[in-house]
Amino acid sequence: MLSETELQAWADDEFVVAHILSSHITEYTHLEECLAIGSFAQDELAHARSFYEYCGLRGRDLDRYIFLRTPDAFAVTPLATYQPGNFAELVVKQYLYEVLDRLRLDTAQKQATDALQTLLTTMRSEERMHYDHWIHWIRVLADSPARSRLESALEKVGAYCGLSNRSPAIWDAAWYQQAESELLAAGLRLGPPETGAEVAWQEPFATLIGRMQSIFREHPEVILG
Amino acid sequence: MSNQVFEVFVISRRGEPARHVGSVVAPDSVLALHQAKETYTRRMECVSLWVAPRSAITTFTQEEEILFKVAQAKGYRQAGYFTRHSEQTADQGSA
Repeated sequence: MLSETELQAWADDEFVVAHILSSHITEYTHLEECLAIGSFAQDELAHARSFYEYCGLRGRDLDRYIFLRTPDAFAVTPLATYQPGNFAELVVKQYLYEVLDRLRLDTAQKQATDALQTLLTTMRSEERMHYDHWIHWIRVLADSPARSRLESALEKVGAYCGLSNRSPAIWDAAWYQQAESELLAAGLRLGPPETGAEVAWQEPFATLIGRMQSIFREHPEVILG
Repeated sequence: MSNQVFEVFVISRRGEPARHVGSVVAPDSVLALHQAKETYTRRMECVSLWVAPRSAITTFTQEEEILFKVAQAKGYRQAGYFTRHSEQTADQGSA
């Protein structure tokens, strides 16, 4: 059975992914893509909230849990925290993240109780839409003049997540294998996981969280909505 | 990679006809479908969604819209119309 710690870690990832997606909601390729990504961000936010609520966090308690925790208390995967600098980087990050989410869902649905199954079934249909969207963008960009940007994005996102210097004990083989084979089918290379030191992703994440929490921290008593 | 306009059609319930709801701009039909789903169906009852490139749609021009002006009366489609019409015209002439 999934532990509360695992669910809260998953929730943290979903929340951070949603926050980063929605922070740049007017900056994507064109209006319709902005709307689609905004919709995906809302899905991720709802997944996060559902997991937090399943673990007993609600209302103001949940607000305080999200907006008063220190960055190092978030149990996030480095990939979730990556802040894309252009659309190609966003496509790569989101694609890799959705591969991870799909694998998490497969594992979770084998272990989950009835109460969680309903949530996971809804999540699966929404996450499937996300995955289909990002893998299609990978293929579209790979076959376009933007291919070189995609290749640069794979290197950059990979380096941030420590793809090129991650120890085998940390690396999830299933995730890597799936992403590698799908990217290879598009003529792209993910890069091998190698043993080495972890990349310092914590600092940019701390800046992101600090900015996100600043208003709540200044006025924690204010209730919005 | 260039964008195209795709017209979007929604089928709200099984058995109902597809209804035009708007358009999206996308690089290809798959992304158009995704964007149309997230733009037009988040709060709308929907069982299916179509997208079609506007360039693939054949239509009349604005100048040709006169072709849609329907005759007020279609008596001429009925048997005997011309005989009755000739008789009426003859009566009016002799009156």
